[in-house]
Amino acid sequence: MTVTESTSTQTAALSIQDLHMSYIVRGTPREVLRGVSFEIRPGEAYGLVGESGCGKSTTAYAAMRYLPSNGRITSGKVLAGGRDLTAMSSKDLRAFRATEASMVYQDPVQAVNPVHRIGRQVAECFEIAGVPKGQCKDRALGALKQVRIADPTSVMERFPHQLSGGMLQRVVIAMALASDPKLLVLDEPTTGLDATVEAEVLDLVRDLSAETGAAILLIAHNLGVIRSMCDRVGVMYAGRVVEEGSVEEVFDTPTHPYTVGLLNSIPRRGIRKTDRELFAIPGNLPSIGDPLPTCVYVDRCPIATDVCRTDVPPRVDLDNGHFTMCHHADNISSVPGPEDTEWNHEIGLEEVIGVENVSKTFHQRGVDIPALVSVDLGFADGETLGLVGESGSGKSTLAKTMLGVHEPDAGGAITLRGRPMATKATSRNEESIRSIQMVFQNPDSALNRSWTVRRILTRSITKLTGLSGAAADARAVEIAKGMRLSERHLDMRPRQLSGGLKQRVAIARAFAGDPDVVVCDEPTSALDVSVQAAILNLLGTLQRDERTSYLFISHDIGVVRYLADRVAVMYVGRIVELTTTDKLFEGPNHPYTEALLSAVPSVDGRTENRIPLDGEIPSPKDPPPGCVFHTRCHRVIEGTCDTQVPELKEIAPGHSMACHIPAEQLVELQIRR
Amino acid sequence: MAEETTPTGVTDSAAVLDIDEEGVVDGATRRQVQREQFKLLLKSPGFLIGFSIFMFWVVASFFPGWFTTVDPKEFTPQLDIPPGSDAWFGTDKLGRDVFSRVIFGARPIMIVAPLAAGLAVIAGTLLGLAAGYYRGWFDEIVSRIAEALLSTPAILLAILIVVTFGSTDPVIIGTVAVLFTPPVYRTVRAAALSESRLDYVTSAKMRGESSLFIIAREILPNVIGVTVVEFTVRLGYAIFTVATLAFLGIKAGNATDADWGIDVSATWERIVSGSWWPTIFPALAIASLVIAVNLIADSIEEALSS
Repeated sequence: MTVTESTSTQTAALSIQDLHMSYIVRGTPREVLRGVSFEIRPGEAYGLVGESGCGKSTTAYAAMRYLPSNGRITSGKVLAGGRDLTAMSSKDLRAFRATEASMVYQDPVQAVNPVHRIGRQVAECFEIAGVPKGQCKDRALGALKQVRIADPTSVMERFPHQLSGGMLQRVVIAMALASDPKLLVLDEPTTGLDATVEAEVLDLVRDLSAETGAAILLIAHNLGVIRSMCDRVGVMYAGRVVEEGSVEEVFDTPTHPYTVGLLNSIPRRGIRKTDRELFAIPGNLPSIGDPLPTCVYVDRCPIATDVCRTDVPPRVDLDNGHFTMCHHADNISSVPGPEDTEWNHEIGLEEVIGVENVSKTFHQRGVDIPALVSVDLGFADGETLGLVGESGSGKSTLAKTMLGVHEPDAGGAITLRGRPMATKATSRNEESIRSIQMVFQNPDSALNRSWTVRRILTRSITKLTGLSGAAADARAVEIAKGMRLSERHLDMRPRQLSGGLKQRVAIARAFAGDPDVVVCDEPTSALDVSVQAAILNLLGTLQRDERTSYLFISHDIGVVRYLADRVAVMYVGRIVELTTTDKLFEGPNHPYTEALLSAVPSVDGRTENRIPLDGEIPSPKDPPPGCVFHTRCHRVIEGTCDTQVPELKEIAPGHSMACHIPAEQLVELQIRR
Repeated sequence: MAEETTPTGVTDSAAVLDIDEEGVVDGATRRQVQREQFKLLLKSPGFLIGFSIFMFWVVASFFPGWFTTVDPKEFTPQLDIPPGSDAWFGTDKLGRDVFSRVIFGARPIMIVAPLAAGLAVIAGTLLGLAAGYYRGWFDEIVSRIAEALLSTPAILLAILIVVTFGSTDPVIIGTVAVLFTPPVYRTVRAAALSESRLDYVTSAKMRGESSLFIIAREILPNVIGVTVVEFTVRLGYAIFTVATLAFLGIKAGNATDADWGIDVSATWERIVSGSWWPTIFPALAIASLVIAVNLIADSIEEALSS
């Protein structure tokens, strides 16, 4: 064992051995990595997953020895190609970073210099890598071609702000590959991108690593991304790798209670809210610096026993290099799974809130920007309407127009039980304000950080129901209880609460006045999957008990499938398809929906024929003539789609679509997944 | 290891796992963060030195009698003697004790400067909040006026105002406050602007709150930290500006009253003839106070951002 290990260490693209790292926070060193060990072989793609705060990114940065000023490596080794980075001089380290390893960051906008042209920035990377000056420009152009950017010659001359996020990430990847690195570290490279763009970037990285033979360390919180990209995966928890193996082994037969919990918390294999709840891992990730002498997961583990608190868990080796760090690896099936729900979900017949022929045109410097074009929607009692589409498709504008933040153009109306409401929130009556409320994407932004939870809730209660004083306080306690917040949370301020609890407070505030419709704008996209599960369960329970309707905006198709009863697909401010969730996944679909659905990386590992969406979503400022989607459509009919606007018409009961291709033909064209 | 996984073992550990603890970020509660920030402040040498010097001058301005028994206005026959055991800081050309004048000179500046800085912070905060929240024409007008004030040389403007309205203390306070309102306004406006873009403000609008409520109750508590830092920074500049005005001779004051700026201005010409002490000691007093306030401002800012 020792022989093979020492030889592989010599040749491994990256080998991290028992790495301990601390951050110095307010004067005290706090441990963040508690003995991380893993190895990446040349040409291999290795993924790291785990909740935020578990040390994934710190590990990625440590792999390059990019440490923040308050970071200290306390023990352990980082070997790249057999050389120890922790012992390198700064000169050697520079040479190492210039020629042997590269990094791609989460936000491409911050990774490029806004005042220099793209061509110059890419060329500079070749210069640093030692390419003779005269050749750098040509090599840069070649690199842009290699990352398959559209129109590379003109991109060379452009500035970063003239490129979209997806194009910029391609540029950053081109820059990272300039030195022909042996190791490429990608830290959440697609987190800020749409699923369609994400799929393209991932395809690109996969192809390029095959071409160049670079080893890849991929950090991602999206398990589907890891499954589709990586050969092996390490599951991190509280600064330690607790399970490792091939992606198939780890995701299909997880053997650590934490991995099991993570996988149970995401909606998989098309399950719905009416089938069963999602599994929310109880408790929280330990803070950095907490002493965790034995098993790092012991405080949240459902099968922990006394031995877990007294002894460090052994490394249990399974087949094919799959191992887990658990005392009870042979008893993993006793980890409780999610509970089935008994929910005969009945959607009411009465339309509670209606969106009738709503258009919204923004006026900017004399130019009209139609952000919404005659949108018609209705919400029945107790119904969840999912709203999907790429960013820039007008989802949030629709939500804000419904809530009266934006005023719709003349001719459209938002109705409450058939009667039109005032268009502006400030001029709406109490009943209208109460009936429709919102849960925002980011609870940090949505909750006033200087207010206590009690004040946040009582203020909304007073404003929306007219209760005040002790009565409002009693109601706040009652609502908090309904959100599974305990009473002592009421006197805390948002920053004392975890992301999940904050989002519960935001939901509690939305429910303060017993609303009819709650608009949820990506309510779980800022949260970890295990917390997301708890929030989705809560939304489901509230709907069951209070018969609230939701407008659920999300880019995560899996989540929409779990929660939504009907789904509306938006593109450039227009609804292109509207149908029940079941029918959406049965088809036939609008070609745009088809492409969206095919772009979702699945943790279940089913390989699907992905339909690439070329180019960018058009600006609503000048939408394409005819069908707005024809410029990117893979089923475009020349002469028809580019001249005639398709109408949103019913192709089957409860299934509307705006496409020139007849439904029967779409069925034949779309080989079902 | 399997024998440990008994049903009892499972229940036991579930009991240990306190479900109620779910979600509370116990690693760093607000109070704990504050305590740690305070500890850091007390450990920072800059803060300790600055705070000691500042407190010394605060005490001196309230109880000058604790430090000296000599009347700062008393003319003695011992003219112009250098620092020594008779007079620690020497005497000036009229025979007045320089040490006593430095101690008594703290009071005028310790009244005028904080009042001026305070007024500037209040005015700047109110205007900044309104401009940051409403934006539009109000913001345009106030911002242009602020820019106009900022682009005029401050001392020139001060001289102009003081000469016009008389060099009494209230005018001096008002002048310095007017001069310092624009920078405070700019800082607070920027903070209020970014707060207004946060969703909690949208949420307040959606439940029909009035603008006054949103500004005063929702936004103000979140920019108060900025104003505290701004006050300490402006205080340092105010001390400096008031002393400068006194030095330039446009600050009222009985010629016999102890005042650092006036004393420096009255004696500096005699440095060349070897009599440096009546000038240097009040000048050092000004410098020590300005530096002390800046040290405090810097360390507070550092502690808040750690």
